[in-house]
Amino acid sequence: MGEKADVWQGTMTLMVLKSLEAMGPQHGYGLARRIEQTSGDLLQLNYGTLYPALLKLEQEGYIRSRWGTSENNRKAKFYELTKAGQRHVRKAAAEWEQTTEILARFLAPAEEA
Amino acid sequence: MHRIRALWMRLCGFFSRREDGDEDFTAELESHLAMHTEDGVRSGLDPEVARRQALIRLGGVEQTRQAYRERRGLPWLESLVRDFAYSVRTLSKHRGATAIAVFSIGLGIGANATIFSMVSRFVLRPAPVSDPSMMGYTIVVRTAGNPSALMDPVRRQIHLLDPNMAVYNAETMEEHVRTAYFLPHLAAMLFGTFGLIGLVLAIVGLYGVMSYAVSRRTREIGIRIAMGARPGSVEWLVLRQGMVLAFIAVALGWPAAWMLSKLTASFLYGIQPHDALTFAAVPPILFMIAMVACWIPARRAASIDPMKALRTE
Repeated sequence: MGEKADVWQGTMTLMVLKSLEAMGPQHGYGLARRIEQTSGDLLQLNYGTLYPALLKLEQEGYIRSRWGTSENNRKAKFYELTKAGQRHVRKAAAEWEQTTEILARFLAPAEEA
Repeated sequence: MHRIRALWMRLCGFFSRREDGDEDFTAELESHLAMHTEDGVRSGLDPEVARRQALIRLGGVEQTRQAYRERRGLPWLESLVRDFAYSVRTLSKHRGATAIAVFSIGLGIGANATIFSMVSRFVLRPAPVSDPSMMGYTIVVRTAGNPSALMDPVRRQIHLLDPNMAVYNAETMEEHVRTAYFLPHLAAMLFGTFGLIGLVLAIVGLYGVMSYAVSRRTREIGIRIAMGARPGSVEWLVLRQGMVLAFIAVALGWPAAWMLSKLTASFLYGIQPHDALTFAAVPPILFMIAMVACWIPARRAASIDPMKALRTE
């Protein structure tokens, strides 16, 4: 086991959407950095895998993209949440919270026993 | 909802020009690499080292582009279309053999449709008689004695009831049964036999054409196997060709059988011209038969020994 965890598909979607919700319109590179930072550099993100994931979200209508200019005056493609995306983030986040909460109960040492 | 939307978008991606999407993504990747490199330089790296690191973290430009491309369209559909286009091209180079095969399968469809409507008429469903009075009334008389002696008393009795009633077709029960079933039986037997022969001919024809095609391509298939083609993919190569043939044949044969069944119906009382069950069942059944007929040559193709194949001719 390496000390850095790989990112699996289902969670990447939520990370991307959550980051977009927090940052507003952002380009792929910015998103990748943000995800790494948020994870406290625990996640080893293969940047290349981010783009197909973004494309998938765009095809599903959760985000949209347009070309713009970055903070360093560089042409970049910016992604932002759509209305449907905002709804989806809320729903998916709630689901994940519940899942992790349930799992946490199993992982925690039994108190009553 | 969103899945369907995504599928639709990918279908659009499948039909749109590939170069447009590629260019857009190339620009996006380039901007990503440039930003990453810039960050690296800012943290004190040599520009070249910074760019190399950016490339490594990306996981390779070509791999990324490939993954993106696969997500944009529908890769399985693309390869399927490519495979079938290849089969069609090969077939169009051998027009004669294709025509024979298509004709065989078409014949099979006609034959099958005939047999099926026969079965559905005589086995699955009783004769549809909507209004028996149309055909007159039949009086059945049972007697212990000689039937012919009973004829006159019965005739007299009917005349007493209604003098205008015409009495005809007096016959014994045995005669009646024989004549009633004679025509349908004969026709069913004839059509059934022809249908069966047609079906056998179709299978043999298709099998022959596919075997011939495989033997013609022995060299090519040998090279494919020598180059590392797996048996499964060689089998699939031949089967695909058979499938294209079957598709064409069904497309041509189905309407023909439709028209033919009208003709059959005019010969045989009680056969519905366009029996829904028949026409729904025949194409898949025939398709399956065609697949079996192709599968044997396909198996043979897959087991070709490349060394021997390369030495032939």
